[in-house]
Amino acid sequence: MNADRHLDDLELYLQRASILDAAASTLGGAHGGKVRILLEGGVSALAKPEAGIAEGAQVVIREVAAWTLARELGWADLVACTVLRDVPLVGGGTGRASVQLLWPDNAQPDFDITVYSEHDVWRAAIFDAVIAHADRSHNWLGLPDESGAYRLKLVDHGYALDFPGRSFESAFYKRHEGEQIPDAYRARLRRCEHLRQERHLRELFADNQAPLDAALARAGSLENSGTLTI
Amino acid sequence: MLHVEILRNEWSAGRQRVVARLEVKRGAVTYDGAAEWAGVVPASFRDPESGEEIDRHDAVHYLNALHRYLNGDYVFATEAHEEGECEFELGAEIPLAPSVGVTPTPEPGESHAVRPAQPA
Repeated sequence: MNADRHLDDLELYLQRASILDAAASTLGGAHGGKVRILLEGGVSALAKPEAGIAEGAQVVIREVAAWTLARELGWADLVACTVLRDVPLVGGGTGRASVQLLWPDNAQPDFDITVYSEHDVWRAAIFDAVIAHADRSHNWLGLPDESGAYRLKLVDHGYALDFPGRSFESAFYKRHEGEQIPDAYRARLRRCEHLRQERHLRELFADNQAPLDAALARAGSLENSGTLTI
Repeated sequence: MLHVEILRNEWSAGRQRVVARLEVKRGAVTYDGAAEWAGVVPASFRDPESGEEIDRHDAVHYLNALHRYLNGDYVFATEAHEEGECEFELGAEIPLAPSVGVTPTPEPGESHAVRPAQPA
């Protein structure tokens, strides 16, 4: 069981803190509705409204579920805290969005994975296998530390968890595919047998539990086999 | 000339920065930008919509589809467009549009929080 109940407070803050300001990107990519929000207390976060992208309702719940599963695995350092809440929309009104804390601006996107420690790469490989990420040929950050090394942060989880029409793709998984999972990481997979936040996850997938059940089955299979193969 | 910009979102700083530009010259994709950003531009990618593998040698097709693949929260590609349809140069810093969709409505006894604007 994780000793991470302090993160419950962080999630509660993200869900309930008043929004002081919202600023949208001038130029947009595939998701044109992303908004940086400023919360009371001075914390900035990134909101990705479900209205801004195709199948947005499916995208935003996966962003939240990925964070929750990272917590369950005890790897909350890899993924930004993410919740669902209503936010102001570009063009007016409000709508449901995934809201995640921001990594610092000096984090470098999509560096070659060889710059990261094996500890980070293994954890990312296992995490991606559990959530069946379909968009991890990129979508990570390197956060520089004082030694000049980079610590891995994983971003953009909207196309994980068996997103319809997308297939599993992860550069981290490919790096260790078929290898024996080190015991320390294999032990983390056992946590998925007794999820502390199972009710929360079930509520996210209230319309269709299959993606969540599939993720938990993958975690179980990886733990049982001890081999990184799904 | 058909081209795309690669932008970095610097959310905390409140800006977007044009870090690279790809364009089709004589049928090939050329890269203009700092070397550190060249690595985010793939040699090939799988189009998330069609599932098709698209190679950089298929220059126009590559540029037209890149925004569907490179669409992250912190770095993304614009949709392909022609010269004159874009006013942002390499290195340009573009501020986020402030106070989108929010209207200040402080109420007595409450904090100075801004409540979401209601649709007209």
